[in-house]
Amino acid sequence: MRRTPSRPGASRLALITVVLTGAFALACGGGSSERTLTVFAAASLSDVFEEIGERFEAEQPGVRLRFSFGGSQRLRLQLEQGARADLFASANLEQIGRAQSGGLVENGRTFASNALALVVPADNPAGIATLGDLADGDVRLVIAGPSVPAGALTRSVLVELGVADAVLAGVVSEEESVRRVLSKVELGEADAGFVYSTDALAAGDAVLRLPLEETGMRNGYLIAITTNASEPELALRFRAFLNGEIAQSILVAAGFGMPSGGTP
Amino acid sequence: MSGWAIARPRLAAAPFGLTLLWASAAAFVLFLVLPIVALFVEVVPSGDAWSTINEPVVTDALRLSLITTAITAGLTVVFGTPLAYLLARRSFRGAGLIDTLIDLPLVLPPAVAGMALLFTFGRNGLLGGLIDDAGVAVAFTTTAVILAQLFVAAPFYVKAAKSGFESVDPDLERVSTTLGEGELRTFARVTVPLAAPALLGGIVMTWARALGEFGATIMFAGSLQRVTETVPLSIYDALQDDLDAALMLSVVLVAVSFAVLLVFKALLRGGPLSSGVNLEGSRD
Repeated sequence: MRRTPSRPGASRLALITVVLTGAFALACGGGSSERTLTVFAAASLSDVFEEIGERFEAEQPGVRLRFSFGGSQRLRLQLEQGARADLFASANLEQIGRAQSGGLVENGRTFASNALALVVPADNPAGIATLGDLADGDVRLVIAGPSVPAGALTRSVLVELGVADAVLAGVVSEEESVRRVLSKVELGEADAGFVYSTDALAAGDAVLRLPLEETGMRNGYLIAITTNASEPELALRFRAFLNGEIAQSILVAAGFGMPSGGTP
Repeated sequence: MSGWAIARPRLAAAPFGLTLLWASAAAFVLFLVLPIVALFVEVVPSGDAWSTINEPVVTDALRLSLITTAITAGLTVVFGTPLAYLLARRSFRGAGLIDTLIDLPLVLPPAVAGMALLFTFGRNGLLGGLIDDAGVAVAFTTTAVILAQLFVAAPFYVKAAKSGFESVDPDLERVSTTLGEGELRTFARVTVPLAAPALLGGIVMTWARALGEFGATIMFAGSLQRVTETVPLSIYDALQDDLDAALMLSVVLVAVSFAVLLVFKALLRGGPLSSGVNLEGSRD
């Protein structure tokens, strides 16, 4: 009985350390020959970019794409604060312009466009039929924040249609990305929300899309290579791929418009 | 002084160890304090940041935070005290389980708390139908902010109050009741004063956690100025295009939290709470 009571504790601690270290090593992954391209992309691009990414990886052996999706304004902020990425895909010109004037990215290139859509939960709890119903006063409307590209488009369209004040009075929450607006509608917590037409399409049966008067207003998606990209050559290839046939057909299938702004 | 005489030779025998001890402690203090200092370094010389103090985005958030956290603290005391007292004084079946369950919000990620609240009080949640029938809305309202704070922060008070009550000698309560005081009066005049430091500590912890609540609030209550946008949400939001306001709010939050902790410590050290209970005084 020479064992000190602290022994079992010490060996357990050692075991935990070994297990944690092993798990960490596994999580980090091995393959040093693999090249990683990091893409910051607007939340509304999440589904299509995952798909486009898979096709790109299939064409480029040894290349792995790593995405970070979020509101364009937040991604721009993260770049400003020193986050490392090779590419920044923004949902409007303003955010890419601010990143550019900060010396963070090169020139942006447009690769798609999108339109605004009004969606309600599948069971339409507030019984909304038209835009005018939103001005009812009792409708829980959720939109994206003013600096979010989708939020900026929402406000512009409502101003263009001359209903901005009446409709915005019903806003109960301003979300930080368009996908958060969508999820609030999908959950049925919001009576209505303004998202992109591609989001409405992606949500399928979970939401009901209501007709919205055509204003011709769209937002353009731009992609830019960062000035401190660690894989600038790969980044160029991805940017070219994005304007290629495969990527464009994926974008069109998801409801995105042509780079020029028109619908196909 | 005699303590020094004993300790000295030992310390002298290991000067390197002692240096290491101080160096490591100093490095850690620096790590904990430097980020706070950095906020002030950024704000103090900046006129732009100071000028935001009267901006609605700053004042609205501060007002909302102070009101909601005060209500949360109040509700916590009202509902948490009986629970803590029962857990401390009565042994009943399931007490251990309840004790563990109420600790759960403390370790849950706030995002999980937000989801849980959404699926309880949200329109399609467990109680959603009931709430809707009653004609009340919870999600996206200030009520949701308070519920989120209560859920994540109240357990701090219950835990502290429970151990506070446990530390009160039941004999003192018995003496009080045999001297003719009712149970409620005994609780108010004997138990609470004796447990006061723990109770106050619990309130401060709960209040501080409520003040910093972010994740559950943004998921469950959404974010809208004057209604649900508390200081942490406002900081997160302002960071996107109004850095000065975000900095100002951060600094105010640090200052308020620090002041509350200082007052709390002062109360414990020299104030009425440290003198314990005057049993004679409680009889008049």
